[in-house]
Amino acid sequence: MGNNKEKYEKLIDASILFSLDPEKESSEYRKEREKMIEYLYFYLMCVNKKKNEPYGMEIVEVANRCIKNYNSGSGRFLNYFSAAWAKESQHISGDIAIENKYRGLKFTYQEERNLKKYFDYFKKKRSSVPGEEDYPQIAEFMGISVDKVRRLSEVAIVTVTGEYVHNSEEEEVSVFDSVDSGTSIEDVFSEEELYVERLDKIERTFCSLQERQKPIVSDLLTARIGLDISIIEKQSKSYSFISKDIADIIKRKRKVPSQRDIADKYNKNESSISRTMKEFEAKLKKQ
Amino acid sequence: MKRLIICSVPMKKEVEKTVYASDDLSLPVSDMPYMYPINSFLSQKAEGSDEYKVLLLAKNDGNPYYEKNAEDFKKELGGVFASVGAKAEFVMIDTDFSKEKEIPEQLMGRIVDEIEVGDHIMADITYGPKELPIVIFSALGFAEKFLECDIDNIVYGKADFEEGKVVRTEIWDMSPLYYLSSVTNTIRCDDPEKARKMLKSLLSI
Repeated sequence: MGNNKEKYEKLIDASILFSLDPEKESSEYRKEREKMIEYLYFYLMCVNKKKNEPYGMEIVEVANRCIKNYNSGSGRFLNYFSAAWAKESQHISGDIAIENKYRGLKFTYQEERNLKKYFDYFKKKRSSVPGEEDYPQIAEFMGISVDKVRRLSEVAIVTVTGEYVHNSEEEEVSVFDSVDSGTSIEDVFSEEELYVERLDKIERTFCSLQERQKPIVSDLLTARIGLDISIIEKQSKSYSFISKDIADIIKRKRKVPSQRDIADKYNKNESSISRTMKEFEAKLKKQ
Repeated sequence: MKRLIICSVPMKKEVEKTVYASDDLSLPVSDMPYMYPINSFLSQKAEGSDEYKVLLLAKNDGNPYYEKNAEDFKKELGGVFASVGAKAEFVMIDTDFSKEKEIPEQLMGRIVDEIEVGDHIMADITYGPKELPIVIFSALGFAEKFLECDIDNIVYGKADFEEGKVVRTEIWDMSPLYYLSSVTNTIRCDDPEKARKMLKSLLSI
């Protein structure tokens, strides 16, 4: 490989990949595509090996996405890829910051959300934030250890940045805005039964969709509705509408992909996938 | 441009001519019958300005057929080169058809000895013993990584049979698989699940 950034810049610029027809010149296109991905990887190693080398999978995914979406109107391909990689790098850096912030503490999205509800409940009842003396009771309600409540309370009350979804009016809202701060602890448990009933209804409607619509609707549903990671993990085997990809992103990055992210994944614009989702919602209402 | 052609020659008695089909514009072939798909391909791609070295790989099983097959190959490809005015050198590497384990590795080394820095390499893996494609892949990997070579094509003549008879032959190019392997051997990925995900990403077009 050497440390020769200019060499890989030239190879990338000189590639014939984008002049080939993927259908009619299939073998040549596939070969040049693999070569391009390798050149992009080596290029990033030349730019900053220490920073980029641990992220082989992410580099391939970004390279793949860029190759699929690029057209000559986007300018120089290397610049197009570099911008996309810079954005992905930022996400990765944010994940690392969150990982450091949580100091390796493993907890589910549901636990984080429930703790916030309990804290709001206590504040409403007693006009004060729960203290050490309240942790045993909270631990019993949540089914976790007192130590975990203590550590969660240190870090989990602050909303994790980047957790936004689109509501039905296409507005970006924080997932925590949807939590009812007046909910009682007892109500939290009955909510789960209603939740499962809603999931069943969604599943029935989802199964009636055309095959081409299912991947998009699955991703959007999981991003909007499947926010409780513990429910996703429990139910994902029985609900076909749950998107493993999106669930994995939420669990791994503690961030819900936006509608724009999902549109990019399928190489469509946002209004197109929004229409698909509206068709689904109309069917759901008729159920 | 210097081009190296590597072709495995069969041990069987006769190689029949057939018309190789292609629905891939990057793999043009002749509508005339040829014994070897690489020759059909080169009949459309060879240029008089290029210099060719042809490496024939054969297994000496004690029968004379492989030598005749090699001569037939030279005649067929020689005709293609003559038609475009290209210069060509033919080199034969024949090894003993033996079960001794060191033979494949040694053959790989002998192939690499014939490769020059910067060569553009094409290979035909249609015929010959089953270990030859793996030996050729290994040699190509070395050439690409250390000798600054480009692997242009790795062709294979796929045959469809009905009641023991060939009814259709088609040319395939395995070089995309070669480069996929090169990418996955290059990229670091410490998590097995992430590595699987990376492969799925590479396989999605």
